Amino acid sequence: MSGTAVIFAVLAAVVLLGAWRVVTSEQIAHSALFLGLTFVGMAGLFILLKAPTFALLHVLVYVGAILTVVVFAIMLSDPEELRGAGDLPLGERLRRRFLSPYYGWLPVVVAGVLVAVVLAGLAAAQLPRVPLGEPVADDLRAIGGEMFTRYAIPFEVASAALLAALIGAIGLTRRETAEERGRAGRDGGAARTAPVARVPGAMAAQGAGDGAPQVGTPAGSSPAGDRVTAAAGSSGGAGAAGEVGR
Amino acid sequence: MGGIPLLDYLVVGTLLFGIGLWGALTRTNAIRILMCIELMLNAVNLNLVALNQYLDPGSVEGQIFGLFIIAIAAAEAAIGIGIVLMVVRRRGEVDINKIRLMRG
Repeated sequence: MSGTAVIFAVLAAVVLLGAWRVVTSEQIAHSALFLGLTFVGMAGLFILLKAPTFALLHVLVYVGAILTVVVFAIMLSDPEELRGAGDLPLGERLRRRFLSPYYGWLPVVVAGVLVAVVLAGLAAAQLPRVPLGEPVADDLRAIGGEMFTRYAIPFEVASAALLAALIGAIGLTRRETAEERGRAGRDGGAARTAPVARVPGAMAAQGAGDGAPQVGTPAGSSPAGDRVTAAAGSSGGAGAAGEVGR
Repeated sequence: MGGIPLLDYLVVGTLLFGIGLWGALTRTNAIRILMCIELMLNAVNLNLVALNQYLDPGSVEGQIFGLFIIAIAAAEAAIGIGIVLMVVRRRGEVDINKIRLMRG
């Protein structure tokens, strides 16, 4: 077994075990770290394939950008929701793992059949054992040259798609401003969601809005009560809370 | 590449894709499903680069395709995580079985 074969075996083991632990870790933070290990192992395989520029870009984007975004998402999510199946009782976990069709045997069958078919095809194929020539020596120059001449239009399309995705991500995750929240409350559209209830003063207004109809405040007894009952009549209690809280 | 047959790389890519597919189908946490999709994209990248370096070593077209996949993977991660964060903030939930806004 040559040195290269040993290196390949180690890298393949790192990649596959890392991927395995990404799926099976109890804690999702561990999954994210194993994902990083898998990405680094993949970069090693690319270096072994004599594609160092690709390995560099792979580490740069996957470890530097995607893994960071994943870790951010984990940290910004509610920790209560992140334990997943780990806090289920053991019997339920075993039942889910082996008996349930959706979480147990059916995905195993689907993925197993796919892998078996592909491996059978690979075993039957006539694949070269050695490369059919020398790889490009200066691959950064070759990739850059091709990227900006022959693949210039796909490159521009990809960059436009990336820009649109990033702007969309910003738009999705941006916090609503107080003004928009008030407008949503008036429309009654997003008034049922939690952020409205967290507006300072909205809780008190909610209480007033709930209390007013029960007490039977006479219309016109106070301007504020009048506004609350009028708004409650038009768009419901939560909508009124948004209106008054603003 | 030192005497490693092309088959070995393709087998590693196939197994990695299988693990990613299995994880994406079995897990219910939205962030973990996104990670499994990244694993599958990685497997495709490994196949592309390995086939490029073995079958057509004089060119870099497989690597360029792989770079496009990396770009799309970055876009997918940004959008996917953005959607997950928005759902978590609005509904306090990352379990895809409990997010059924679009169920008919």
